[in-house]
Amino acid sequence: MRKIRLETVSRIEGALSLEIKVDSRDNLAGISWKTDLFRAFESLGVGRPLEEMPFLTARICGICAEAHHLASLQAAEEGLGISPPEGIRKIREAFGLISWLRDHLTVLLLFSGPDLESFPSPDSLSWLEKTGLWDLFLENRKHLRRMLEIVGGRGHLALGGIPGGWGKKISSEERKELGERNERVLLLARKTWELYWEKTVSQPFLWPVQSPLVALSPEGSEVLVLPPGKNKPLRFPLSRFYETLVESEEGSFLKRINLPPFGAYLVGPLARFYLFPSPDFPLSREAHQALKNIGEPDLSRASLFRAYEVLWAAERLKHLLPELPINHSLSFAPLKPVRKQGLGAFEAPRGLLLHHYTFDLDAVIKTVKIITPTAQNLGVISDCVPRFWPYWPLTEEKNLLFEIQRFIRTFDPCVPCMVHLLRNRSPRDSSPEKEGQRKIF
Amino acid sequence: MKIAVHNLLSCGGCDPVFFLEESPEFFRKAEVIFWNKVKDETLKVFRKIPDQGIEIGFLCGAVKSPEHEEVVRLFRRKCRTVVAVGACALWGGIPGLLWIRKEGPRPLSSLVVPDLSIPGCPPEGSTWTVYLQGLLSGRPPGPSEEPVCQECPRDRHPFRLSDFKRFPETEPESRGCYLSLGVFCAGAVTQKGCGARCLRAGYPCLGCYGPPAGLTARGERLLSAMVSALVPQKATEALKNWRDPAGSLYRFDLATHPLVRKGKCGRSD
Ligand code: SF4
Ligand code: SF4
Repeated sequence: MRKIRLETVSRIEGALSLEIKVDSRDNLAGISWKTDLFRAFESLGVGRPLEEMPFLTARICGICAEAHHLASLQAAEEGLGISPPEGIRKIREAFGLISWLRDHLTVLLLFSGPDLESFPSPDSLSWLEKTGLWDLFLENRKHLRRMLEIVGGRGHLALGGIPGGWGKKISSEERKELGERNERVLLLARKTWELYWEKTVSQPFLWPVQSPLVALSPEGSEVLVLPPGKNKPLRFPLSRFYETLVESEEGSFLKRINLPPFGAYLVGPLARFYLFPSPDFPLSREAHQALKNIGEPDLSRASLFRAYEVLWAAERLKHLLPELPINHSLSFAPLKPVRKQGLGAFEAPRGLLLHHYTFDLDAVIKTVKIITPTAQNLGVISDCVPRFWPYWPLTEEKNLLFEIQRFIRTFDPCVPCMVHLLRNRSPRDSSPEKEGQRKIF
Repeated sequence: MKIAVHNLLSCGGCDPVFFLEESPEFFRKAEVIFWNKVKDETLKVFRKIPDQGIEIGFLCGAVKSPEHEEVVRLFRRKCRTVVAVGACALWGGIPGLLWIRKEGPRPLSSLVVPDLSIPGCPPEGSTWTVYLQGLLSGRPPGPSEEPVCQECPRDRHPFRLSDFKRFPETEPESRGCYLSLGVFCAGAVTQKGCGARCLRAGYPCLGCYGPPAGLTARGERLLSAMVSALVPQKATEALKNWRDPAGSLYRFDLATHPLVRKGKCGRSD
């Protein structure tokens, strides 16, 4: 038995190390993950005022802070029994789209970009320079930062969300500025899509998906589950889906989520593509059609689906911006919960994100449960490694580690988001009896 | 110029990736020796670098595990200049609130002395630029002595309080200083530099830029200002109803509180 250790999986969000055990015949005998990024957000939220949760939980992840902000806001509002007016909903949608764009573009052009080249891959900065997109990428990071600042008050880890309302007003000049900046974002979105299409489409299928695909329905009240080989998704009310999930620990402090009876399932761009309707916008419609023609879901092309979503988000934003209310009046919801708990869901860039809180009558938090996209995808990652193991180059350790990392990166994992498991307090632990009791059917 | 970057216990939000667009020329010319976000290198390689062989090392995040400690010490040895980035590195950040349960992280400065400390959760782009340019030109800035109130658009005037409030309990369009509305706004005990971002987005300041230069016991000072504004007959009731004292007073820097340093912080404190 030999052990292969990888101290840090590179080009992902956060620090994750791997240990792989290989037997004398080069079979995979085990793989374990390790991270020391445990920050116990599910614990430190307890005792805090409900209205602070959108701000606090945005600190779970510096990359998809805005997604946590929005999911948290929704959980708070469900507990308070309020739903924001149409105009505020549009501002929040724009906020989510801008953060999607920044997140996806960063992942595509910095983290996974070099994976388009063969081993040994260049570092991200030189790769970006070589593609000729360096200047446009940096220019657009500036645009997106400013856009978040306009909509959410800060350019990074933006805020703005207050239960029942939105604290940052948008002036008519600012709305115009948003539109102008988004035109440049759209240009980069197009170039990124073209680059990924050109480099990816001719590659052979490598990693076919054999797990159910899961996404929040576009109107947000249901969860869609597409089992492998099926064409029509099953639909579940959001709260029922949440209640069914089973949580367990994988490696040190990593949260893994299973959906009985399916087990592991996949969330994120690839799942959304197969579960969402085709878009109405010209560029993304064309890209959607092209993607449909390439065949079955395949993990080795996951980045291509991310690139498609960049195009879609920029086009959706273009249509949405003229509808944003100008200088809306501020409103706060009374801090009087009508329920003892609240569940918020948001399709984050990496996939479905759930925040569940219970609170007391003064709207002070009693428990927090956070289900992140990476925690949901962890099961598929773990289950796929043994499946794809025989196809990876075992003779050269460096080469093998590169392939494994490349595979992990296709999920765009986020380590700070993975590690919120609290030991000894899960009502949804993974004992087989409980899994049995909680089947979704 | 050789540089290294690493995230310790953090959300990854202070990572210099976010400041690429602020300092493109700096990053273009820099030779990245170690930075797992952009490069396939491991600490193994970093350990082999001669001592002082790297010009600038950027460290984000707080310290909790032995591995974090090793990296911090390694950075101090290998880098001529160590830059601590963000509230977690400087004061423990939001995870420092875990000290209420006696298990939080520590700031980087509890292990080594950084040469430059960039405040914020996360630092604003403009703050990053001022600090980096100052460092490169040999005049690294330190913390400001002035508070966020200097940059705040809200109106200040003398006030008396009959109760403490949570900010959604105030009149949404009111323009008055949050303290005068009974809300624990940390702006008065937080160094300026962010442009009062949260105040402009409808939130009170939650204190992420840390204390102004020379100010100690910032939480106790804020508490004292609020308590002294309470009308005496209402003071006991207001204090009894006040939720989350530690979070209101030391949201980003509980890990640096003397009670924590002396191991005396727990639920009852
Ligand atoms: S205490 Fe807060 S609201 Fe008042 S002036 Fe200072 S920053 Fe503004
Ligand atoms: S207003 Fe306060 S909490 Fe907000 S960015 Fe400035 S210092 Fe940080």
